[in-house]
Amino acid sequence: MIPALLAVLAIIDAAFAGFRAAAGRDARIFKRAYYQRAVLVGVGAGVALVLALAALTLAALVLARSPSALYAELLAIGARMLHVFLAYALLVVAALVLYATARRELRILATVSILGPFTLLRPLVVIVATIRGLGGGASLPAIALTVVSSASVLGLGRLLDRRYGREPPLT
Amino acid sequence: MTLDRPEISDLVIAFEPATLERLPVPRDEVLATLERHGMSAAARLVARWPHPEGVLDARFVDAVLLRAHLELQRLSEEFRQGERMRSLLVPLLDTLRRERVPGPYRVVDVGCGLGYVIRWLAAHGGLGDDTRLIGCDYNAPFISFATRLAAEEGLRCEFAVANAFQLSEPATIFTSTGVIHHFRRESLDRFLGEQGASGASAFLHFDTKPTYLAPIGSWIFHRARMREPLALHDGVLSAVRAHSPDTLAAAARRTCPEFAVGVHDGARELVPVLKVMLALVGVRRELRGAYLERLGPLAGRLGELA
Repeated sequence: MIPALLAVLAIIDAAFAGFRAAAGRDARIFKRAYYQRAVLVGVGAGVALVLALAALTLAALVLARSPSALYAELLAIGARMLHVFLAYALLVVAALVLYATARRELRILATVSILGPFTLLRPLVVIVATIRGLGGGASLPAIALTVVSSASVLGLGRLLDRRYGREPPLT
Repeated sequence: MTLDRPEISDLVIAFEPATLERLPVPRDEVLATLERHGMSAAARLVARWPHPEGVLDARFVDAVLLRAHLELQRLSEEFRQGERMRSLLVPLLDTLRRERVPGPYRVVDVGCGLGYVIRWLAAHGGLGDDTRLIGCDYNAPFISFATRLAAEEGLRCEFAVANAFQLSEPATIFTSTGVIHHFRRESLDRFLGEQGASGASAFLHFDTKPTYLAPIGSWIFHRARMREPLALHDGVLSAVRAHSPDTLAAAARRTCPEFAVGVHDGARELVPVLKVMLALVGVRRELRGAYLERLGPLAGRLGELA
């Protein structure tokens, strides 16, 4: 359950990263298809990242002296990280629901008070979750896997941004 | 002092006022102006730009401004500037029809940039067949881009590299979004006075609402959404430079005595997060009553239309 939740959150985060990477680069009025494609690119990148991290984790487990102990340790770290991620995700989803359904002023409230500031805080949220995850003490392989996972989630956003930045900034 | 600080985009591009011909901009003059205002970070940014023979590379400047405006459009989409404009424009057009002001009604967006609001209105405005949408800007690359975008999406609007107050077919309504704070003191009076003298029936000028939260809110937003350093710098500064409702209303009443003037969403709020934009609204005095009636519940947010 915990790995699955983390994987789903990572893929959703990548979908948003795809959207953010594409936003502000296309001046057309009708661009639903453009954004859909950007989200799909993000999802694809997110799935690839999750698979790569799963393979890395599997390799670490295979090489570990006690795979079950390492797995239990990773589960405990993941559970602690999920507390932070789920709180953040809940807040963002609530803001998105408000943005999608409310009248204009309330949509602006969602944007001004949550969607804008919390996009800015996203790297900090990942760092806090990582620190919290590792807070209970962890073995070197668990620390390495956790840090690599968090860093790659943050790095994916930058990668997607760079990918869109290479395209001509017109339409 | 802060209010007088120029935005980088005000300095790095210049036009001959009569012919709108692009003028060369000496880099050192820009740097000196920025340093004079204590804007060292902005000066360092511009100092890195290419400047053959001491003049800022026009193509590079255009590319920077284009990227900044693409990002600005993203904010306009998020803050629903098109919808915002439509909410005051539709009752205004209804007023003109009801008061038998002869059409077609020419809505001229001053300093339209990439023409987002005009194109949005063409796509979603439902303004009627008697309405023409025209965007004006001095920046030729912006106008050619806006024209291309409109054609690509089959939007019924037009764009012109022109002084909006000197069009061969004059405006019925002047509009703008995020432009009016660029005009300071006498130039604000001139900007509004030209509209009063133009024979137009009305104007609607939207801009950031200056509140105690606006500067920090603007910083957060631009930091979160903008990639282009110029967009970040100018976006934050524009929230600081935004005119107060009283300044706007006083300037419009002073320069356009034949207009009834009010500020939509200009009222102070304890926690100013719901209404982040205001609009300077002016209508010819003979249209005042009919416009207030057509505005319906929105009239309550207009303050005094006098």
